Amino acid sequence: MIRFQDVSKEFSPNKFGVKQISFAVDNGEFVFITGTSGSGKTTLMRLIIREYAPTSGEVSLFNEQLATMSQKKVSELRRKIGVVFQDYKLLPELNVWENIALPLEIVGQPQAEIESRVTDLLKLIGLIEKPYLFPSQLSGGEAQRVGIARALALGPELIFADEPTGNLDAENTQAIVDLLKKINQLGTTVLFATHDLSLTKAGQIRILNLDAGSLIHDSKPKSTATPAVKKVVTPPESKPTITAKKKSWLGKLFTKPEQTTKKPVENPVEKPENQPRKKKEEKKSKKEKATSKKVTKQVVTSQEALE
Amino acid sequence: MQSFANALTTMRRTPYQSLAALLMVSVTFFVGYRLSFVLSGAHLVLSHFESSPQVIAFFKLDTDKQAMETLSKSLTSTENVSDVRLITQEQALKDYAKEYDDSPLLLELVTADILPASVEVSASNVETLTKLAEDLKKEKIIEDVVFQQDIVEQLSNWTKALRIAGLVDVGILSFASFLTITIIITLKAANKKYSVTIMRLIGASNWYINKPFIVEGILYGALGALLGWIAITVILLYLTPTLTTFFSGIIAFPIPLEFLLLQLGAGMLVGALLGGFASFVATNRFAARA
Repeated sequence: MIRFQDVSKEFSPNKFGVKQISFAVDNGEFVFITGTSGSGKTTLMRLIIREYAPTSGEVSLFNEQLATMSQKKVSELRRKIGVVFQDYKLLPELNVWENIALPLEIVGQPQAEIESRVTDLLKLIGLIEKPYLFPSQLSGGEAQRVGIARALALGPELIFADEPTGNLDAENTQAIVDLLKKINQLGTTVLFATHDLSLTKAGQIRILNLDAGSLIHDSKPKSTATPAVKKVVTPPESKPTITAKKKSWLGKLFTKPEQTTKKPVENPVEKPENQPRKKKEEKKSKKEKATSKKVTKQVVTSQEALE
Repeated sequence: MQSFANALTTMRRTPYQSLAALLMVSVTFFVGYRLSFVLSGAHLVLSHFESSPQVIAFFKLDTDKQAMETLSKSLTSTENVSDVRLITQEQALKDYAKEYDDSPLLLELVTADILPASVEVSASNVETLTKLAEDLKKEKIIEDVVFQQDIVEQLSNWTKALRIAGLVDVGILSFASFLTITIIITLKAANKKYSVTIMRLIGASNWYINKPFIVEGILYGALGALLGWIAITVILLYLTPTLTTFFSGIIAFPIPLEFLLLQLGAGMLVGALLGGFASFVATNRFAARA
């Protein structure tokens, strides 16, 4: 999915954002990108969304070279990537609802679809009661959750979270990490940039460690040579299953209760001590579903992850 | 519709900037509409004078009727002559009697034989009349030629001057309106630089970002033209009784509704184009700088 081959970004002579970086990330992976401030995490993100062009080397995404991409294609590419920014980057003149709806409006989704998706996303992030608040009226944790909801709105194939927990307290940090892990389990590739090494301790998650713009450690290195720029056109039926995966998690996220499977969604990041509370809340949630028939099981589970 | 609603919201949220743009465009179109009224009126007045009998040639008293008719026929066949009317001495007396029917004493003193016969010639342009007047003066049977050349020429010159001055005024005001809309849209786009950057990052196309600004510019142009039209129409209606008396027999009042609606339609179209082009330039300048 993502391939960096000897990529450097030089801002001024001998001042590199990233230097000779090579790595590859497969579909559905969860990757922590760690490093101190100034190590090149944000530059990496900007290279991926083609905000920056590399000084040298090749960046390819979804089997397409970014360097030769037209402006129109760049816009289309960015719609496939959900970026969560450290400073949230919410539009100050738009309220919570409008901020989440923005990517959907950009791609021209019908109003009914926008309303349905935004409602589901508001439930997912636990801000269903605050759709009309403006970013200035939200706490840091709430603003970041709105940023995540906006990143999820189009069902992206890749999420790049650039220090999403940088301004949050421990509780909100854990909620965000749990939510992103949950999203990853549903098939979306997640790149999580952070300088907080404590977040990377749980689980066998791949870590890319940057230092002064160089990749100094990759816990599960992958070959960067294979996908390269494919000369042979892959038949549609043999393409990677990201579309199916995306549909799967989107389906769960946005499907109404009557369309969802009865099987509860497993939540491996749930802490054991939360189980009794979870059961109680699930019961309450089921009762609500019986009356409103709007909240999906996936939404409820993810809400719990946030709570 | 979404862009339209967004543009209206933006206009409402920055009332002074919007008011400045609207006022500037309104003044421009007010002057433009006024110019169109003045030029249309001047055209009608000029046409009236040009189509009225402009050259009157009086025959010598002893001229026989056949010579008068021969001259009249030759004038009729002249190029650009629209009408030739032969007034015999009897007809002249009738006209005189009609004009002074309230003064019986005057009528008693005047008989047909002291009133000269005349020929009244109308033409489609002033140049033809000038030449005709010169030719008629050379005729032996003509005693005198009356030609209100100066009046027509002055009127024609005034109309030309008005047209040039009016067009210069409208041109300058249109340019000022263009600059005003461009500056205001650039300001608004600059105020939204942060939002525009974010929209670009999440995949918005240039058209999606620029559309609300362009719609806003079109609204300034179209609404400004509408306001200018309302102002000029109200003033015109207020002045209609005075103008009716002043232009009696030359211009028919009130001005036909079709003319006013045509003016409004054309004005709004031009306004929309002006505003759309100004905002297009503004967004392109902003995109180049951002």
